[in-house]
Amino acid sequence: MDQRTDEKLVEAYRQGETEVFRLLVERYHDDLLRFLTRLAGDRQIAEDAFQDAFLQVHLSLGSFDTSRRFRPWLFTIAANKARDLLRKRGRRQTLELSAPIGSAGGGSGDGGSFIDLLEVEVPPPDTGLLAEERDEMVQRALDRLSDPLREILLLAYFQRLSYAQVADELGIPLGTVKSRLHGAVASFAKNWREVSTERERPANQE
Amino acid sequence: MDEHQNPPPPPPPPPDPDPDHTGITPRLSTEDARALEAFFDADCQLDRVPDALRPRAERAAALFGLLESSPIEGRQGRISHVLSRIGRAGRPGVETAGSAVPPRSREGLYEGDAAVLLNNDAEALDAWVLAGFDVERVPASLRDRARAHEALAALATAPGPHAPSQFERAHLVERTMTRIAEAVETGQTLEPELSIPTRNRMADILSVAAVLLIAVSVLWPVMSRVRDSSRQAECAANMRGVAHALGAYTQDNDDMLPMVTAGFGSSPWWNVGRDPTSSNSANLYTLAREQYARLAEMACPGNPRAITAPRSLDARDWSTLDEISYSYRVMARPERSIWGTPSQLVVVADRSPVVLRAVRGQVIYPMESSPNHRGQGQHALTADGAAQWMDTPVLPSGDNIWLPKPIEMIIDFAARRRGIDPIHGTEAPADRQDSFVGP
Repeated sequence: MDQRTDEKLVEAYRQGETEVFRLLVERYHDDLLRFLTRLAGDRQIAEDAFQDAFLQVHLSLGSFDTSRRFRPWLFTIAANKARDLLRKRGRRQTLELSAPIGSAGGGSGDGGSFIDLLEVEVPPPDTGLLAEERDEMVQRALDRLSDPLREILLLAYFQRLSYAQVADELGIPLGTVKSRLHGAVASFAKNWREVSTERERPANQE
Repeated sequence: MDEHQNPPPPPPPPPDPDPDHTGITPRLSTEDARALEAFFDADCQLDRVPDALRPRAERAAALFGLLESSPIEGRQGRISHVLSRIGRAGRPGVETAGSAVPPRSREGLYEGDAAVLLNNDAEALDAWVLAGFDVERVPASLRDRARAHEALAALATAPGPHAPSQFERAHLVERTMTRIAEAVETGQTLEPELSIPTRNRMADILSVAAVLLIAVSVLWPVMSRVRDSSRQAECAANMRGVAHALGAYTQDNDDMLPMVTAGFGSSPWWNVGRDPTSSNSANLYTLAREQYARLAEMACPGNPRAITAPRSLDARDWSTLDEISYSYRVMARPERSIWGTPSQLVVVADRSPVVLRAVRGQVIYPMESSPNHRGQGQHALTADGAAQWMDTPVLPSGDNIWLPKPIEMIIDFAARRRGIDPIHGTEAPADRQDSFVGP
């Protein structure tokens, strides 16, 4: 396995080592495809966006500044491609109509806007939940986020970048990154709690 | 209300303190509420609020930071959003993260019921990000909450149960590389929408592009050969998978080859994606639909637009001609006892270049090989279950797999090279020995 950094591989590709491009594609296959599947909520669109993203990388490599990191650049391109594809294929319904508004239907009476993370139960893998069920619930919780929130949440989670780096990549002010990510995490936690509750009480009689 | 059935009418109900069901009691005076409503009715434009209500509306708007933002989607959502904020702001003991101002909604980012992090959770998130997402480096007082963030992130990023197999992985990588190769070969350049950031000087870009172009043109032929042979190997593996699937299918189905169409009549059998009852590819798709083969096994890595997962659960065919990698025997009539016989009849082959041209009404070249392998040849799966590589579309018997016998008989040698009028998609194999695949 080639130990060179992504940026070094990009440099090598520019110098004519064409075969290193495949290394980049292989290196990012799992992470990027998982990111795109979560973002688009659809495997086929994710695969198409994956190809589009690398094609774009190939086409735009001349403009890539190798003093910057490759990973965030790739993920940002990929997110753009996924967004384009979703738009082209007739945007999916992101907010389910059945999604409860606030917690009015849940009867907890706490107003539902403020989320305390320590009260949100995230069961560790292999406990109770079937992998399939868990996977589907996570997607449902993500799908209920508005597109920009889902995007910033997943970009932050998958890329593990500082606020300043995200701000730089997305070209939005640092304060906006921070407040959007706060909102995104809170909404995701809240949605997760909701889908968990819906699962526990599937036949909740009014 | 059941007022009509109860003779003594109940006392009038108290005014609903929570008409929007936010779960909290709004604390606005009537005047303020009216001003706020007028403000929202005016699409959050103060100058459109009636004069009498404007001072109050102005105050309310300023209080909630709405002056900076455009309207949140949905009036009801707006109102309950703001009311819940008011209720919260008035509730003692609840600290909000950052200011009490609701998040800006310039791009409709926040749903009417957007959630907000508690101060501690927000601090923990910031600390966790600052610590490079390493919980151990988060100050001890925030560590528990940072762990909660970590768990939440793990939830969203964990590989699901449908993680791609080694096979699917290689396949996507291969298809991606095919796209890149196509771009190189066709000299595709940046699309206009993706302009280069202005911080790079044009001269820099041009010199980099020149270096790339020279390097690619020198090395590409070498790389192409390596790539072609790896693609052929994968495609041959696909063929073997399809052979197994056909074996299992015919065994379960009274020795019949897959056929869901009922003959094609006068409509062309290349109606892919429009009408599964008159599309020959729907016959081959049966193998995927009835789970004898995975769609990925019927996707050649040499076809960048091949799909590896169904477009929808109830799909009965590929949705476009481009998505199809393999051509199947044109099933003009049900055929029994063909598969598994020592026959050299071609049942499946790499996609037909003849059909791709004929669909567009172009002249066809009977000697052309499949675009799956850049015109160098094609795999053919014969009824005896063997998958073989053919440099030309003509079998040792002289049978051209892209055409039915009657057409083959009327074209002479010169016409084979020069090209002939397209077929119409209504042709059928002459007999059980005539290899003819499409689309």
